[in-house]
Amino acid sequence: MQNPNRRLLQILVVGWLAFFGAGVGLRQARSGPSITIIIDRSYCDPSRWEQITADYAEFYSQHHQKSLTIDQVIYVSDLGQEVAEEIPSPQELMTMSTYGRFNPDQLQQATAAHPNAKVFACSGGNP
Amino acid sequence: MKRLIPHRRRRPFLGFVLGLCAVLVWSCSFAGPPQVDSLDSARTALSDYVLPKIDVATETIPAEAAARYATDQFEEPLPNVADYPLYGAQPGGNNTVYLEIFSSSEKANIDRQNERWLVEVAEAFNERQETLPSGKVIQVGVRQIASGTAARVLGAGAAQPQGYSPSNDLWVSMIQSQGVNTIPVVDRLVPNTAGWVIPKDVYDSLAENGTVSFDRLLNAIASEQVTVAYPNPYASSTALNLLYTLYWRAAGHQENGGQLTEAELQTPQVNSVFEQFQNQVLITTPTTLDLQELFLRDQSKLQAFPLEYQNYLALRQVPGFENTEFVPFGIPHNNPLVGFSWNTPEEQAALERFGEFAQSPEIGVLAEQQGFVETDYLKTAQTPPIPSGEVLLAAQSNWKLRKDSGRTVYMSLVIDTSGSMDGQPLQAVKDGLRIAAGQINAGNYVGIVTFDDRPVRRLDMAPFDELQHQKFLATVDQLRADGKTAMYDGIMVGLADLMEKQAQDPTGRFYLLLLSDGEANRGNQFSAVRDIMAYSEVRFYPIAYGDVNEEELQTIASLRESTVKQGNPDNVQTLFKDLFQVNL
Repeated sequence: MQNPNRRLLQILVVGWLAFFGAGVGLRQARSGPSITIIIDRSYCDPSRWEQITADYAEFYSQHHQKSLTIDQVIYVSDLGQEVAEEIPSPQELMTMSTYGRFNPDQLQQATAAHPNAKVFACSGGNP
Repeated sequence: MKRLIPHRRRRPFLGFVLGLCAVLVWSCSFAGPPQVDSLDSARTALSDYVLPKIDVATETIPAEAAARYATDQFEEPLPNVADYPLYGAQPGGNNTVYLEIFSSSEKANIDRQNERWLVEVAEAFNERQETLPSGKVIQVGVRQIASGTAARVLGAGAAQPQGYSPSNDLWVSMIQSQGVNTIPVVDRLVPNTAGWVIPKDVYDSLAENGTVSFDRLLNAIASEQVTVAYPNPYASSTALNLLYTLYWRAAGHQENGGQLTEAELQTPQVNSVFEQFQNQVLITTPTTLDLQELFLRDQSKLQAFPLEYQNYLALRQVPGFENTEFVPFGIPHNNPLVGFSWNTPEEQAALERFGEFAQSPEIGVLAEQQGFVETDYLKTAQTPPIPSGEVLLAAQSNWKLRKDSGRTVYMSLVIDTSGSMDGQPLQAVKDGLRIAAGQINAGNYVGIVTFDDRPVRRLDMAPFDELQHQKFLATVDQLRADGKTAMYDGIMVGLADLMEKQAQDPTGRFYLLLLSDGEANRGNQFSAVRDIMAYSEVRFYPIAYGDVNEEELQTIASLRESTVKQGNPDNVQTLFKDLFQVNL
C-alpha cells in the first residue's frame, strides 16, 4: 500500500495539472480564430484612412477581448513589406503616415503569402 | 549659558555664531542651479537660475524703421572663378590652342593621390605637344571647381571655359535648361557610382539573398528602421542624384524606365514618400566631410549617408569605416566631357583630341588606380534616365520647400560683436547675413542675439515674412563691434528664446548658430552651462571665426549632430548661405 502522503501529493499534482489543462483548453476555445492582417500603407486621403482605422478598430477590439487573435500585422507599400514589431492599436494606426503609390503587385504578393489574411486597403488604393 | 561660556568669551562666541549664520545664508542664496538631467530641468535651470543673473539688453528695431528696407536688393554674388585653382597648362603662349576645362573635385584635387586623375591626364597630354592641322599646339588647363558651383557660373553666363566635366550628367542637363548649348565630347571619361554607405550589421539585417537594393533600403528608411543624412542637393552631385532617384522611384518609373515630370513632383503619392523619407533624415549638411565625421561619432544615430564609390574605396581604409557596405543607386556618375557652342572650331577639335587621349587604355589604367572602376551596378542595373534640367530645378525647389515635412524651424543667431570683430570681420558677417536671409523659408522663425560685454536681444524670434525680413536686414545694418566677449551669456539668451518656443511647439526643429571670434572672457563659462546646453534638445552650429577655443566649440557641436565650421571673412558668406539653405 502506498504512503498516504504520497497518494495525497499525487492527487494534488494530477488535480492541478487537470485544472491547468482545462484552463488552457478553455482559453483556446474562447480565443477564437487567429488571423493575419495586411494593411496597405500607400498614400491614402486622411478621411479614408480614418475609415480604415475604424474598421481595424473592430478587429483590434475583438483581439483585445480575446475573441480572435491577430497573429501579425503586415504593412504593404509601393516600396515593399514590413511586419509590424507589435500589433498596433487603432490610435497608433491613425497617426501613421501613408505614403507612395498603390502597388497592386506588392499587395498581391502579400495576400498570396497569407491567403486568409484580412486586408485593409484604401478602397483598393489610389492607382 | 553663563556657566558654559564665561562672560569674557561670550562676545567672540556670538560673533562666531553670527558668522556661521551669515555663511549659511550666503551659501543658500548663491547656491548653483539644480542638477540638470532632463529637458525640463534644463529649462528650469536656465530660466530660474542662469538667466536672472545675466544682464541682458533689448534693442529691437521698430517696424516703422525697418519698413524702408527692400528685401529683394541683396542677390547672392556669383563665385569668382579665379578663386578656384587651375592646374596643368596656364593660359598664354604663342602658337597654342588653350583649353580650360572646369572639372569636379574628385578628379582634379591635386592634394589627394586618388583624386587627381584629370590633372595627370592633362599634364601627360600637354607633354606630348600634340598639334592641330594648323600647326598650333594644344595645351590643357584643368580648373578644380565643384560641379554645382561650375553649373551656377555657367548657367549665369559668367564664364566661358572650353570644356566642362562634372561628376554626372544632371548638371549638364541643368545648364542646358538655362540656355547653355553644350556639345558632347566624351560620354564617360571615367566611371563612378553613387551609393549609400551603411554599417555592415545594418546591411546584414536588411539583406535579401545577400544584397541590399536601393528599394530595400528605402523601404527600411520609410519604415523608420534606418536614420540617414545627406549633403546639400544644391551643391553635391551625389545628393542631387539621390533626390532625383527618390522622386523618380516614388513616381513608379522603375517599372518602365520612364521620365519623371514636373507634374508628378506635385502629387501626394510622390511627396508623401519624400516626406516619409525626410522624417528619417537626421541632418542635411553643407558638405560630405561633415557626414563622415558624424557617422564616425555615433552610428546608432546616423546609419547611412551617400557617397561616390571612388571616395568610398578610399574611405574604407580609414579606421571606423572598415565594417561598412555600399548600396548603389541612381544614375551613373559618368564624368562626361562637354564643349560649348562658344568654342571656336579649333578649340572644339582640340577638345576632342584631348577626349580621345583621355580614353586611351593606359589612361584607363590610371583611372582604375584612382578608384574609378565600373561597378556591378553600372554593368547590370537599369538606371534612371537623365531628366530635363527643368525637372531637376523643380526637384531642388520642392526639396527646399518640403524638407522639414511641415515642421517649423526655429533658429537663433548668436553673433559675436566684441571689439575684435571691428572692421572687415564684422562687415563680412553683415554682408553674409544679408545674402543668406534670402534662403529662409517663409514661416520659419529667426531671431538675433549679439554679445559683447553683455548679450543684446536685437531681433525677436518671429515667423519669417516680409516684415521680419525687413527687420532682419535693419538689425544686421545696426550691428557695431565693441567690448568684451560674453559668449556663453549670449548663448544662454538665444537658448532661452528657443526653449520658450520649444515649450509651445515640441515638434519643431531648434537650432542655434553661434559665430564667435574669441574665447569667452566675461560672464558664464562653458563648465557652468554645459548641462543646460546638452539637455536643451537644441542643435548648435558653431562657426570658429578666428582665435577661438576650438576644443570647446567642438564639444558644443558634439552635443548634437553638428560640426564646427571654420570661418573667415572670405568664406563666411558661403557658410551662412549653406547653413541657411539646408536648415531654414
